[in-house]
Amino acid sequence: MRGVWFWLRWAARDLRARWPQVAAIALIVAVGTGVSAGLGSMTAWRQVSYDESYALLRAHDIRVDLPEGSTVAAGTLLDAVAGLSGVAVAEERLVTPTQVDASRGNRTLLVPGALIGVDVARGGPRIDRLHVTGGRSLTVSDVTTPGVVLERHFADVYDLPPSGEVGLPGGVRIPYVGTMFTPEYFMVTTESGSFLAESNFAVVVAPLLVAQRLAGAEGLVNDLVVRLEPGVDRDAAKTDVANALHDALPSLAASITTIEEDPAYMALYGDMENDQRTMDAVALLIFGAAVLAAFNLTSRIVEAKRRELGVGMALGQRRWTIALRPMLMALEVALLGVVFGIGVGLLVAVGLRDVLESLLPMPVFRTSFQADEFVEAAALGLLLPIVATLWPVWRAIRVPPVAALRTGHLAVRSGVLSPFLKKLTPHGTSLRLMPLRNILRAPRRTILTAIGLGAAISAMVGVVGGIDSFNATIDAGVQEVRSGAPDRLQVELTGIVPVSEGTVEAIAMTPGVQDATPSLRMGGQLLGQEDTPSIDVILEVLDLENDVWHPTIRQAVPSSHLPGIVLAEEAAHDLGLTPGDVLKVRHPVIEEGATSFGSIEEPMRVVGVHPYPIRSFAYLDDADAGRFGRARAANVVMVAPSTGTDVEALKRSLFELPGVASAQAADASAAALQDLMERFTGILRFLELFVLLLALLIAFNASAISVDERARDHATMFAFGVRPLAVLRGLTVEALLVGFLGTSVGLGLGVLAVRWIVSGAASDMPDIGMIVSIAPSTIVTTIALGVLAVGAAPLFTFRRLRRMDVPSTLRVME
Amino acid sequence: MDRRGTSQVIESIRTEPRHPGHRDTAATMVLLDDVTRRYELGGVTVTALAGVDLEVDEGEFAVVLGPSGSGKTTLLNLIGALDEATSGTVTVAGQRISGAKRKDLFEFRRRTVSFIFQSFNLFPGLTAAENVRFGADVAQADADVDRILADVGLGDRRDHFPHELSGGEQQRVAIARALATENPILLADEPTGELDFRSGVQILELLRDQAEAGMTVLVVTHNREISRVADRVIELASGLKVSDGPPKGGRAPIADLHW
Repeated sequence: MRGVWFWLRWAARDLRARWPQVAAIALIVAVGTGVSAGLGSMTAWRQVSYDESYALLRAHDIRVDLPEGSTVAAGTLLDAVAGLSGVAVAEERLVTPTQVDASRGNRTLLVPGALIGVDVARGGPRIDRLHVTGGRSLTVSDVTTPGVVLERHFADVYDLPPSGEVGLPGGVRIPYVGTMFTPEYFMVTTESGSFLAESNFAVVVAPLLVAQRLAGAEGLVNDLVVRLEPGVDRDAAKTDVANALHDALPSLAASITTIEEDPAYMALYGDMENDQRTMDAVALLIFGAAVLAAFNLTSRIVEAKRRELGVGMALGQRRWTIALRPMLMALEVALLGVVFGIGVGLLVAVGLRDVLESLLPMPVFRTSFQADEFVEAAALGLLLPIVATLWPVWRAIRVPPVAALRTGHLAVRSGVLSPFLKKLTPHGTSLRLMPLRNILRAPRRTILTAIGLGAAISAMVGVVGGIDSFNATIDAGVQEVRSGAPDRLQVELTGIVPVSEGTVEAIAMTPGVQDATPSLRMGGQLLGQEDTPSIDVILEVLDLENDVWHPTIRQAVPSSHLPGIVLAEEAAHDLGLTPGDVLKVRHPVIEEGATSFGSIEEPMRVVGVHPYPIRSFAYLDDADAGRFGRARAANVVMVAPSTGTDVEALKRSLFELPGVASAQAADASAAALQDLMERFTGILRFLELFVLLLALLIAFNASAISVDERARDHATMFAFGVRPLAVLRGLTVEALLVGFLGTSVGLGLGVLAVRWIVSGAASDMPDIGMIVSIAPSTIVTTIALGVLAVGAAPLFTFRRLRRMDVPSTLRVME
Repeated sequence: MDRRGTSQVIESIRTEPRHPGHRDTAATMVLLDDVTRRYELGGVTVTALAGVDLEVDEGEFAVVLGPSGSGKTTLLNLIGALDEATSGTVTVAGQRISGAKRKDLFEFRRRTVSFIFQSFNLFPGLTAAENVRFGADVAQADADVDRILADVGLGDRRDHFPHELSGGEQQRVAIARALATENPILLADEPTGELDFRSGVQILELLRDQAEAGMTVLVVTHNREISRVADRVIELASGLKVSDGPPKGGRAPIADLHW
């Protein structure tokens, strides 16, 4: 035991002698350990929080959703599934699109949304319960004296009070009595594929009877949620429900989904997994940088101690005991790193918790200390520096004792590049030549330093490039949305109406409207061939040459006898189609006079692709409108305001028209997407700080080691009267060159990291055609930060240079 | 400072008395007056030099002799302005080192002294010629690098890196680097300490040649044999000057040396 303490103390003294580098390397390990532990905790928190939140609010297992505009009499859907084994409870609902006017004071706040009518009897709803966060929940009293509740994300975004009043289409003002969470909107998603859409989408929940009255659908429902008995297989139950519905209502087209197919559920859990991939990549890069930095440091410490190792060999010490001291030193560095790492991890965890809670508030949010994540990260943090030390120690103890004992300058070694170095003709003074020569004469050392730096920088490029890629994808969407009349409004109707009816004309005739174009939007499916999965889309039928807005059509081909369809580039890519190809499309058919739709499959020809990055939008020309069963029908009207029109006032005028569900700026979705991206990238931006810190630490470490190793060179220069500033200049030039090399390596690795991160995101969000992009500003900033951070590192060593004990240093024999 | 005008300056500040063996025609290049240097080491005060007086003339080949810890390297460091005396004054080539500003000391080292070290201290990233060029560059001297290398017998090794040279060759490069500064004083700390006899003798010949050419050469060594070829031997023991004068038995030819 006494022997162990002796070795530990000796190793600790070795560390103390190089404490700045040791502190830096420990911090590097700490950042690796801490970030990894913190990121791991985030996933665990989310998993637990989501699971508990869904369980608390008794989320549905299966949902039956009729197409827009399609309704059935109350009780019809319940009757269809009654008697199915495995069904614990089922409830009918009415879910209709709406517009919510939450304007307060001078602020106009008109957003589209959904009105959900639920059964509030006996403390209901019993499925997809409401979790009140302000005010109170719905009761039966809200049927007689109409009252609704507002979805909490929307209320939070606009700081709405827990109770108040909102406006609904048709000039209705109704009090809201509380704000609440509901499982389908734990993450606010919209039909158009937007998620985190709370700034642009308001959900209002009302007693079923109230919702029916407000929507003009008394006695009708269009939605059924089902909760199964514990242990019942959801997919099997889904099939049973589909069969039961088909038997009871053969002509009814309905979407039947399990909770796993719920957009919010998919986004939340999928996002969690995708984030974890990103975080794993970042943690891996950071750990990689830490390992290389540890390797670099221990290599150099072992080299510096080679005479002592040689003495050990000369005294007959066994090899393993000679190796013990540097290995113990590595263990001490690792321990120090892990101890610091726990602190960094807690710091990261606190930061991430704040980001997460603001980004994804949930009824239950568990952020307990994740001991297993910390233990796992700590084990890696402990192991990696030790593994990194093995190689240099192994090399050192294999050297013959006589070679280890030989004195001489550390740097006086032959290098493989010696013949090339001689060809470097000096320009200017020998002092100016030194930095480049110093870099090239020790290529292994230079490469290790550059790779260590590169790993840290690649983590930064990966993170920032990931943000750039998301932004580029959004920008592509924004550009497409803002084409045509940029300030146009999108007016959604309460249902599908013939264009010849008065609603469309009333909109077109509203003062301030310069032009109006009707379109019909309906759900559909692009059917894949063989193993290619089908894609759910919104089919929009409009005049593809109208002046208000039409999609940008690329690779257009002439039409044929088949109806033509314009697909998103991403959809065409995913289905393996190019313009001119034919695919099968399943789409609804409106039956004249009916309140529900049928659906058919028919071949269509791809006549072009559009650049909007969300693949779930497809367009047909209104010449083919007859395919949908009713010629010239519309549920959306795009409006171009006249020049000088007060757009807010126009929105209000349109909103007050009968048959209008909502009126909003067409680019509102673009603004919402940008807002979403700002918040979505919050975690990445948070990590940016740590990777930058890491790059700085590695830079400092490399520089400090360099100053140590060159101490005698510098002392000799001082003896010849070279001033410290001139020495510093040489060190800075050398550091800048290494920084440039490391940054180049980092950029190269970073591009790969971005591709990896984006491909992960793309596979988890297949509806979005992700664009891999690294902004020029990112490249410039990375180069500037990488090169300057490393170049500036020698400044921290200037004090040591100035205070150098020149006589003692001159006599040092390594 | 003009390195060529030091003799005149030194004449004007000369004080009594002259050292043994002084030549009336020579100017004093090094003047130490009651110099003491103390260090604090682990809470203990160590006196490396105690009240040393010393005067060395231009063109003199002086050897500072003494065992380890006698203070000889401290003396050399004080003369080379690498270290500062605790008390007393150090004047070199007419410039008072004691109490001088840091900036002036750098300037002094660039223009007045040059060093040779026991372990050579060549820059490993520079070739032999570039190491020599470094000396000239720093001192802003217009030295002919190739000629100097040829003079030290390394004309054919100019493009070799230090690790490609033997110890003797490396030390000759170090001498060439010192000569390239064209400074009037050469300070050598155990220049043969890491060399075999044959290489050591070659180095001594080179140093001797420099003194004969008018350079002031101070060699610090613990090797008594080396002191036999000096003009003058200053012996130190425990920080005190214990003797100062020509070598016993007169100056020996280098060929007579053996160790």
